[in-house]
Amino acid sequence: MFGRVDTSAIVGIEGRRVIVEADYGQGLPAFDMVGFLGSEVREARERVRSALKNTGIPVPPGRLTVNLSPADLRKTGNGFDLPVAVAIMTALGILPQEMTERCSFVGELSLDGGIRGISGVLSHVILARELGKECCIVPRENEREGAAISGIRTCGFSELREVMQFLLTGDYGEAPPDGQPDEKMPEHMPDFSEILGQESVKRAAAVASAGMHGLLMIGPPGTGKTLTAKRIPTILPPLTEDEQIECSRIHSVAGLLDPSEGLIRMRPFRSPHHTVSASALVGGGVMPHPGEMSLAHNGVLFLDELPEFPKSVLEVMRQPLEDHVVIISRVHGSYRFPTRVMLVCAMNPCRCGYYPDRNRCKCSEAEVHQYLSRLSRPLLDRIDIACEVPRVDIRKLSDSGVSGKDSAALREMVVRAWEIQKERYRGLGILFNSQLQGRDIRKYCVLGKAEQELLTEAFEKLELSARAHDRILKVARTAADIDGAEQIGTAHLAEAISYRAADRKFFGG
Amino acid sequence: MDDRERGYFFLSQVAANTAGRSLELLRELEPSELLEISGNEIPGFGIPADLCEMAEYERLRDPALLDTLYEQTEKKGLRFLSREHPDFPEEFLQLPDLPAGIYVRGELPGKTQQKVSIVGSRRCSEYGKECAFFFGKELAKAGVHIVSGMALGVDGYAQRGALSVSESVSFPEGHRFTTAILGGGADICYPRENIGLFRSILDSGGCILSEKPPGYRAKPYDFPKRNRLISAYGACLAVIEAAERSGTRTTVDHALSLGKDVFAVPGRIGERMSLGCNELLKSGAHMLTCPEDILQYLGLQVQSDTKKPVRILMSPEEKEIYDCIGEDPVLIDDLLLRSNFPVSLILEILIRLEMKGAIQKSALSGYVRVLT
Repeated sequence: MFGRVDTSAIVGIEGRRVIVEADYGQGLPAFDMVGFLGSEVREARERVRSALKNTGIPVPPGRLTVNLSPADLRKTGNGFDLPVAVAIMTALGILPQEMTERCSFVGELSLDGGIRGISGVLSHVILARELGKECCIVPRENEREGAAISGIRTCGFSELREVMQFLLTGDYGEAPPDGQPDEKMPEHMPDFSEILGQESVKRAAAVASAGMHGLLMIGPPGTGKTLTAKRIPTILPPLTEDEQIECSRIHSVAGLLDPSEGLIRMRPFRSPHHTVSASALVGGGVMPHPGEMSLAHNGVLFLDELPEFPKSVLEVMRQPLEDHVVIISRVHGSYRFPTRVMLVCAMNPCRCGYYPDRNRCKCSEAEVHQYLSRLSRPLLDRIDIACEVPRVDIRKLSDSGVSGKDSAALREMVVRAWEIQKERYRGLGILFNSQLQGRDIRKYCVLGKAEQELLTEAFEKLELSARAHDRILKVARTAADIDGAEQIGTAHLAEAISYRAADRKFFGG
Repeated sequence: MDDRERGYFFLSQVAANTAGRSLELLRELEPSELLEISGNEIPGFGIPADLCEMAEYERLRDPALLDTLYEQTEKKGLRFLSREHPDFPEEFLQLPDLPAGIYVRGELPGKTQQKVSIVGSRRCSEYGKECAFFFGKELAKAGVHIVSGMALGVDGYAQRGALSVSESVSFPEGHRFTTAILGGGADICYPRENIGLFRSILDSGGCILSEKPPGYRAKPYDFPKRNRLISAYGACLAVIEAAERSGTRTTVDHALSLGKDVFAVPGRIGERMSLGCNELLKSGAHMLTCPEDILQYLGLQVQSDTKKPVRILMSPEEKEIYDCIGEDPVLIDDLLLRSNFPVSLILEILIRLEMKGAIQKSALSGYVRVLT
């Protein structure tokens, strides 16, 4: 007797169809599992056997063979227990094949027949929908996550017995919770109005957000660099539905999705510590896993203490920053992880943090130089905006009673700029000014006569490097978009030039 | 090379490795006789020579070795000038511990050219760098030759300032801008970071000078001795910036013991890097606030055309922001409080004013007026 059940394996962040076949026949009692299995999948045999027994399903002595196909795809992960159990029950004639065929299964079993939550449910449900399944059976813990995908019914169960019940009677029980659970916002959202002063930094953060430009903040400790970075997601426009699914998928595969939340609704903010390894940053492993860059997809990747990151780690970010995708190649195939992030970095100007304040900084010039030279030019070239975060006099600020711009006001600016860019770059495959390259820069960042003169003068007087040219134009375009201006004006250009000032001062152009 | 020169050359080679005490031999002997004396006889001249020194002495006494060393020196583009050589700078002759000779790479400045030594801290502030460059440049414009140690910080910036003039102002053929006196051999660029400066000094026709033979790597105790050459070479000594305890102090002491006048740039009180200079001023150094202070001292013509203030044209908005900026660094946040302009406009105005040369970014994250 034979049973067949659909499930999926996770490759990168995609689901790949896997068919579980079970065959039961006469012979010496045996239970074999084949099909290029990882050790956690091979161990499913023991879990399934006990789970079946403890659910009250007798497996009569005989020869039982389970095959997971395709045979050339390595199966890893803990979601194969449930489909294997269901395939066996089908082979034993306990469950009707025409019922199991209409569903796709995923879940881990415990020995007592319970079903445990797994990671990567979203990709599984999406694949099931593509395959035209009616229903996707997932662990109850992951039900909410799966329910976010429309066009397929997701049923969550916490016991094998319930799955059996459902397949025998077709009784869906109560309607599952819909995919859009209550918009639960955190009680306290960080807000830019909490940062006193530093208006120039806030402005830089807003411009960077408006064009998804890389942002580098340089300043002594305790001046609000981290505070600013943490508030950047609050001024980015909310995630679109597609983006929500995309982000949730990555988090789901990484096992980082909160089961009670369903989809990710807030823009991700990831700040890996500087001890992070290269593969933890861009993704990697024997079976590649998404890295911090992918987890920050559609959001903010914040690297605090930038020069403390090992050079080798920073250098691997260069290509994913450019291409917005990281491709990891392994013997069994290559894996794609999206990495469209806004890069935000913070650093001290020297090891002690106080350079060039010679009353406090005790670093020699060579030490300062060495500290700054840890950042390679190619990496700095991917950061369009560099701003200084000066030490401010707190008393003066709190006396003034000025609270400055809050996140809502800044977000309004950013949203407007995003809409203009979306309209302008329709059909070009890009979304933001920061993605402009080569010919497109000259096409979209046109300068008038006065602006051209200003730029030429700035290059002469301020000793800017040729590299700065394109970045200034792109940032100027964003500044113009914030104002809703068709043409880049001298004001926009001057502002863009001013964002090169810190770069010039510390890195000499 | 005659016998006397040879004797001095021998002695300068020995001196490099014997902390200079072997020079005392010259009190009793003629340089030409030196090579005749074996190491064993040295103690007879009242010099407490230990074994190591004597071994070194004996090793170098080999005429063939000396010839090779002399050849090597020339091959490296260095010239050995003994203290009796006609080209040997007269300024050094006043030194109580006159070196046996010096090694020169490049061209020494003319004997009639006025020389000023500029020194200061290696770990200077941004202000110190700016000052060093400014004085180096302005004095060089007036034709003064700048002497310094090519160190990081003030020394290097003063020399860069002097070299910056070489393109804009034309001087008669043979005019030299700056001399670097090193603690190690003149063929080695120390500190390595200043290799660019090292090259441009030579390119400008200036010179690198040392009392140590080529290939000699400077030890920490060589620098205070080097400083005596710096203070001796200049007609006066200018200290730009110095902390309370600093190598600059030894240069000043040497200058004072040679009877040279010391100029010091006053600093803000309370700043670590100002303590040294302010202390010098308190104990009687000349106040150095503008290049004319030194030019007048040297009796040089003060060029008046540099003093003409340039009028910078500004729009009313630029003027408003400019009026908020003084000599102390002003942050953008302060400007926001004092004016009613949005941030983006302030950023624009600041860049424009910076390009007009009216203000500049200060070292401490803010803007200051440019000194006129």
